[in-house]
Amino acid sequence: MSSSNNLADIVRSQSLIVCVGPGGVGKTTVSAAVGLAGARAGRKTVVLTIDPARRLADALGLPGLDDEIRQVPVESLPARADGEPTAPLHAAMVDTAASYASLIRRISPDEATHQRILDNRVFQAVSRSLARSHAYVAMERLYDAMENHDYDLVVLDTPPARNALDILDAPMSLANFLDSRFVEWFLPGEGPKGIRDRIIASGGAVAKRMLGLITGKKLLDEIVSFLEAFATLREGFAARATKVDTSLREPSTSFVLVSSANPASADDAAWLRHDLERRKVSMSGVVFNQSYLPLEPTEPLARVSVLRDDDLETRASTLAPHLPRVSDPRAVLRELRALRIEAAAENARFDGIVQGLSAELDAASATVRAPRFDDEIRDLDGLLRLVGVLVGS
Amino acid sequence: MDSQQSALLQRRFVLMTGKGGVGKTTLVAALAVHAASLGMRPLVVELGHRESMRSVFGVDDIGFKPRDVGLGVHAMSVDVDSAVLDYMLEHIPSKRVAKSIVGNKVLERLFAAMPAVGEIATINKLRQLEAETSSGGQRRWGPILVDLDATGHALMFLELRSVIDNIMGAGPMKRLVEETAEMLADPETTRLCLVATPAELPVTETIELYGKLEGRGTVTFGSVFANRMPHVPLSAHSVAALDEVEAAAGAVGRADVAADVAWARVALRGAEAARAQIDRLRAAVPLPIVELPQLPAARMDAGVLGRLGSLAAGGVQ
Repeated sequence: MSSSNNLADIVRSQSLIVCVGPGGVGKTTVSAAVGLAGARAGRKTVVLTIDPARRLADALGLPGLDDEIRQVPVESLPARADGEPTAPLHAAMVDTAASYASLIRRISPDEATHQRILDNRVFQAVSRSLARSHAYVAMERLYDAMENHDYDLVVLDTPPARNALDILDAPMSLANFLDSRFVEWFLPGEGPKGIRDRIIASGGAVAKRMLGLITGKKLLDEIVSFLEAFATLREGFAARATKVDTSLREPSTSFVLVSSANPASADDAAWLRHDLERRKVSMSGVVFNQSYLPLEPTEPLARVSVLRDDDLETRASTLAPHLPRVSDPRAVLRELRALRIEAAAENARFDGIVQGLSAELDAASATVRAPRFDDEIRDLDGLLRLVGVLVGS
Repeated sequence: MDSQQSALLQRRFVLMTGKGGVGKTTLVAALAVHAASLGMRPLVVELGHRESMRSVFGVDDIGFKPRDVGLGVHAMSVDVDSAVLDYMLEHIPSKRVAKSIVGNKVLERLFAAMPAVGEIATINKLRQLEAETSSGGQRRWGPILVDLDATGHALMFLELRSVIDNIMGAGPMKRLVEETAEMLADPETTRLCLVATPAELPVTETIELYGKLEGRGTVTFGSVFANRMPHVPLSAHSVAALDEVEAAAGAVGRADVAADVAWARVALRGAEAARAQIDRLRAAVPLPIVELPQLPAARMDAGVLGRLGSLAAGGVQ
């Protein structure tokens, strides 16, 4: 089986594909292409992206793309070679604040609790700025897509690098947090009963005093009331978190690492892979995006890493008669070749970086290299070009 | 020392931000190497634990304590957990209580989940570093170059005062945030540099960040770096001859020459598109824009880092 078939298999068989990778490598575009590949393979697919990239919206033909899941107008694409229709493709660009609010609404037992949480300034600050809320929200959207819709394939784009790991950690860390002794410290119920409760309560009192010293009483009060409100959501939250945590580790889930062939990105990608492995998640595939310059106009996917200029004199004498208005044909031909030789040398450097990262990967994982396209991908046809590179046409 | 050239590096803090993948880490490292070559004592601080700074300097680990990474540069990484523990040790009056709290997983979780706490602990660390002196009494570090990671991170950092204003009453945390906000807002002390590559998304993100911070009084901008500007080494004579060479290659059946021309066109179009993006940036952001060249895709040695840093510092008015 050729390596590109592996990614095609992943797209055809898996029910969840999580794309992770460092920033600036085109991860969101690759996620969209993976989603389109799924739809082209006849699977009803949704792509959830975290990155608010206008260009992705345009590439999907959805200039109004936002937090709401929308249908991508795939009917404008050329028919598949085998005449089979493209399955429905949906997409949403996840808005952290909006999703967080809808999460709270969905798991609030009643309207009063919901309102108390919304009015809490700590909650407001959390939804506005908590770095990790990206991960919580991604988790929530993932849960919704998997539970409430009949998608064959869900593609989840993630925030760059380190935050990608939060997606794995977030479900359980929040569930654990809400479940922990800590909540009891602050919310000891009807007052201490047994010795254990009394110890907890006195620990809580000390902790509260300490926190009060550091944060000031106002913030502390807000935190306590935030927790009071949030504690009622515990069960609902824990159930969802457990479900998401389980799905992320199921055999029908694949993680695809997206990197470029830039040394810094490859380093970040290698680190990311290590950390995923520590969390018992293995990479099923790696996409090296923008990882070579296409130097053969007739074969855009050919990788040229060595090029020489050993027949300049012949070239010059053959072409000169056809270049009457060019004053120094030899110089022009030499310069043009030198430019492409330097590009081939850059490709050789890219090869080295790709090999360096590939050497660390599981031999079974699919590796795909996509060229640096001449222009940025701006429409569905452009995206389809990338699909061709990723899974074959 | 040429005062004009090192104006940026004379600040106590040089903050660097930009979209992921635009080369912030390399640029921070390059400026630090250049500062060291001028006899300064640069400290690189990366926020969060990342692999990139470690590999730029080729060292095995960069942790919570400044370490010598070679070329006259020290570097450290401030992760939220260590910064929070550090903060608690410093602010809780009884060391015994502090230690028991530091070892407490439950409280650790609380701090990890509380809004703005990570950022507050981080600025606390930055202030400590700023105040550090060597045995001779002079400041231990200068400049402190902070790799702020993504633009969202930078915003959070600089707007901390307004974020906590609503939720935090008087207390040591509030005082710390107030004092730090003033330090960051002082143009003599701190400059925020923006990095973009000449592509659509990084330029758009830079313009948006500028719009969000401009006129807010939270920070003074330094330079905007247009990193990885492509250069196509073709003479005007060659560029003018492209059509003819292409036709001639077709006439004599030299596909290799046709490919040379095709690639030259791709490269020229790329350079033109890059130029258009930087023009767009220039039109929207009235700050000095320093163009830095696209370098080969390889690890940089000390010489290249130093030259890149010198170029970056030299472009600053």
